[in-house]
Amino acid sequence: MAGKKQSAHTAQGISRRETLKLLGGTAAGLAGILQARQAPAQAKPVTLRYWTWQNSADTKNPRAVAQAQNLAAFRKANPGIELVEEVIPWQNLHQQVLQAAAANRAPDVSRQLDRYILTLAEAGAIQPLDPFTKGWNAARKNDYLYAWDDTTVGDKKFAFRQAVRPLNVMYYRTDLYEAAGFKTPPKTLKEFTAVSKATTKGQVVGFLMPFSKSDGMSKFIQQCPPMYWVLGSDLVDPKTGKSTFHQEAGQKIFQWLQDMVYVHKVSPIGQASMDSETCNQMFMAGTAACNFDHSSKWAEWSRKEAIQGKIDTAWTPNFADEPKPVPVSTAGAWTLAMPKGAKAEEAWKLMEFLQSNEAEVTDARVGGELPTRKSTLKDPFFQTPEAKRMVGWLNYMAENPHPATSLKIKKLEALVDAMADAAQQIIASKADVKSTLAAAAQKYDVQLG
Amino acid sequence: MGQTGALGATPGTHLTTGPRPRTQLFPVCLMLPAVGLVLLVTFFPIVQSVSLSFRETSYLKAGGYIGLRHYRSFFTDALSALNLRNSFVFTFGSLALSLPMALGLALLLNRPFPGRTFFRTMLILPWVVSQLLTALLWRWLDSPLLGPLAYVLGALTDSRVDILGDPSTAMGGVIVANVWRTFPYAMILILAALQTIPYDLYEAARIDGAGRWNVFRYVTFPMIQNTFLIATIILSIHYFNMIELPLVLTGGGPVNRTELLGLRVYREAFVLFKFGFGAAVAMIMFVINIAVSLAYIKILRAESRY
Repeated sequence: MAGKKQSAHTAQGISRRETLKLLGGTAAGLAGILQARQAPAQAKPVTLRYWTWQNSADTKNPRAVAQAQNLAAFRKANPGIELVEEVIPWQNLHQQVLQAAAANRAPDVSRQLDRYILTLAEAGAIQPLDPFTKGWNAARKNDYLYAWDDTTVGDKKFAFRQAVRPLNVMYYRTDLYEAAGFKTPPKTLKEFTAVSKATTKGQVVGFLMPFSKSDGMSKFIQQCPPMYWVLGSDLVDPKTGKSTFHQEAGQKIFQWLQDMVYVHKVSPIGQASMDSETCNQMFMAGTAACNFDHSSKWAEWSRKEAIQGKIDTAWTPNFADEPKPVPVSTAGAWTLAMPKGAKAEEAWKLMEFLQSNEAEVTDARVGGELPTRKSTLKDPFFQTPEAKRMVGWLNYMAENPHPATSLKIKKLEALVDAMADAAQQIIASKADVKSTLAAAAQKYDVQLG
Repeated sequence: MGQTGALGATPGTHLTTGPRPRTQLFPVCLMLPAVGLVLLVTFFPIVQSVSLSFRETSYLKAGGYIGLRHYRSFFTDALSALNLRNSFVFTFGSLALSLPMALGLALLLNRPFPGRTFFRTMLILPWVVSQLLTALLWRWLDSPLLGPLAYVLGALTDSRVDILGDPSTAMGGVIVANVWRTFPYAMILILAALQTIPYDLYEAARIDGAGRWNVFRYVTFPMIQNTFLIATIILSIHYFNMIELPLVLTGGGPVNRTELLGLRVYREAFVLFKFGFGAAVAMIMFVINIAVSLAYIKILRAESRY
């Protein structure tokens, strides 16, 4: 029978019902195959590239440990996103993003120093974040401890700070200061000069300021604005953008820096081509009695075995020689920016997470970074003795505010280049301060066009 | 049947006569991908740079054609003369130290003595170290307040010695660091050449009554001079184009005394984002490199005896 039926099929062909069944089965099979192919594609996580200068594997650096914890928390909360951390030297991050954006190979999120946001925005390497913040109410926008405008270009928001930090912190070696007979840190320029002279002995220098171009003279460019401010001046005119760093205030500052080398015999000539890292190493090694840097360094340095209990912080002395606190300098903090061509939705998720209260508390507790949001300060951590110094810094910032004017300087790289040339001539070649600064100012102004 | 040579041709016959064998296309085809890759990664960027050097640029965006403006700016800028001078001082200063050092040590290492292999290995080590590490190492050694070198020199002279910070000594400090890292390269090349000299030549020279100096002058040096010149060409180009070492050691300072042309290109293009001007300076460097290489090759051809 079966054989008969089979032969009938062969002879008469396939019935309509059977044809439909066959087509239906084939379609179902194909759909199944396609679904099976699509299923893993949907499950495959979206890769998100994050550029940072901190290596999360660096377990000795508190800020790197905090970053590792935050990125791990983000990965856990977002299993659909494969977060890839790519480490770039901090001095080159802005250059690398600029080049990568031009080659359409930019990361999705990048840490950037706030002072390069203007350059990157003008170059079109980073994108505005306003589409993501348009739904925010005033309370959310006002939740920041820094001015909203600090990271805007024109009227567009291009970045968010990852931490706030006072830059004008003076770290000093208590062991060297006490050995020289000073129990309290200096408050005025006169006092600072005296303590610097007293601590300069043998292989130890009381004060030095590095001026190498290799890291964009970063220490000086972060430290100098309050020096100008207390003298009633600034690096550039905020209205015209033309240089003012060469005027009377600048002459006083650079004359003092030169005198510290040639008159007071405190600073070495070598600071002219020295970079910030060498300066920091000298402070660690005890061959520099003080070191100017930002607040976040405290967590790292105060835990170093070699200098534990031998360092303390104060505010940079008042250049106007008045014993009152100088206005705080906040330009020089790390921000989060979204480069051109980023996977915007996922990138924003990471940016939002990294400025969440949860992440900011980790950054503060583990990494010693000050939070950017007022709401983060409600966390009980900020009531603990461990956070006392941080709260003190935040109070100082609130009591002595000043706009971060250097963030609005056009062609900042050209300004730094011109000032570094001038500083090196003044320090290493003992050049005339007034004419050298005037030449540097002219060089910068010409480039402004 | 006569004997055939290595290429299958009968001795005395011209290989080029007769119809060209079709199989010659095969090696050409094999080479094409490599040639294409070289053209892509070498010539394309050069063409791009040439184009960029004649254009106005805004960050990485190339604008309109501006002719020779960037080149004119370079040649009228006072800093350019210093950059050129620095580059030549650095290149020839480094050559003046590294080549005699490499030759002397190669001659020493060519003689049999106990521990020769150990010393050969030790002397080659600096070449293995990257430029960045070399710079960091020498920055520490020369550091006025941390470095052992500065400490010893300071103790000897009873003053604070600041090699890299003093405009008059900074270039010397950078040259010494560079020589330390690069002399092994020339040393290895010369040592290899020395080992190819037949011993008979030395014996013949000695039988003729030649002293050590004359053996070196008339036997050793003529036999290694081609290698010596090749080492000179390669090191010259390497030195002339150097960026990392002075960048990390001094950042080009103090007072631009160690800013070489390569470092200027880097600064203009990647720090100040003046890519058009940077490309123009890079083109000038390219021309100088070609000119120096051609001069060396001319000397090599004129002097070549073996």
